[in-house]
Amino acid sequence: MSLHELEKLGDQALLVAYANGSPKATVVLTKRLMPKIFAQAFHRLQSITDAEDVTQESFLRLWMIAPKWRKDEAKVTTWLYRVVENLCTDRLRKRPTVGLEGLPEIIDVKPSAMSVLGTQEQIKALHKALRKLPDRQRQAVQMRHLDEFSNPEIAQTLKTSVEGVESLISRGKQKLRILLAGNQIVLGDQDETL
Amino acid sequence: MKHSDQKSELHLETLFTQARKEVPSPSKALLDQILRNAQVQSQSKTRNRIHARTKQILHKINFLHNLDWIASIIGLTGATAFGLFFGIIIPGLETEIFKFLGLIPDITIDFMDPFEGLDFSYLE
Repeated sequence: MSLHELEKLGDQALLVAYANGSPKATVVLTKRLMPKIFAQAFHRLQSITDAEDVTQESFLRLWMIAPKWRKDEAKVTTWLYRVVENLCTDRLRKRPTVGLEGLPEIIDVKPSAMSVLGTQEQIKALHKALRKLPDRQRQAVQMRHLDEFSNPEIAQTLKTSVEGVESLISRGKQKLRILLAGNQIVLGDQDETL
Repeated sequence: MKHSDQKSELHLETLFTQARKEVPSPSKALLDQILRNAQVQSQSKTRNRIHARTKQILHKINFLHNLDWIASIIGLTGATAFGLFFGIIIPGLETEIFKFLGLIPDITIDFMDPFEGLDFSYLE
């Protein structure tokens, strides 16, 4: 089978082809998924080295599970997403935590306060604020706005409904706006389940 | 949604867009490493499959060896051949051999006259 024909196959079909010994399928699948996996890891970890390590580890686990992959299991992208999330969470736990206190002090509580920071600092502030959200809100917001998953895909990954995803995103973004405005309101709700 | 909320929503969307653009491209070295890992895993599984199959064959050979398999096969083959020979090719041959060996008497009983051949003259 040529590369052109392999590129038309879905992720699961390519994974099965790899398990059956097709090196071309490996190349097509890796080139297709690697940028997204790397981006997801980089958004979480904000470090190229760590993101590459996590990406490599995630694919290694995929190759190991390939012979046992069942068609009725989750989609390859969903499965990989969960692996990357877990690996990133482990790495972040091992890092010394720097809370929002590490940011330059913002006295003005107006939303325009963020404009005093440069773009890079604003993006760092965004990522740190994301880590302050309850887990499911954070995952929903990151998957939608950083990883660019669709709402149905997010719903499948988080095992909730599309309406549930929309609610998580809405509340997550509301809290982000408050956090980024420099208003240190204690978040009342913890990790929400829907 | 209030005007201020819309503004902050727009600002947040802008931040997300910038954050997406800030992601560097993964290096070619990473791609090469991932493909190498895939190849190693694939070869490892092939080796394991061959190893398992070889072990099965060796186990069977060892089992037969423990049964003194050569003698067993020769004996079984011989017994099968003789059985077929006697039972199918020359039926009744075993009877003639047994008669020759004296294992059975060389007489024929006539069931219509069971006393045929017997001498009853002493009764007269």
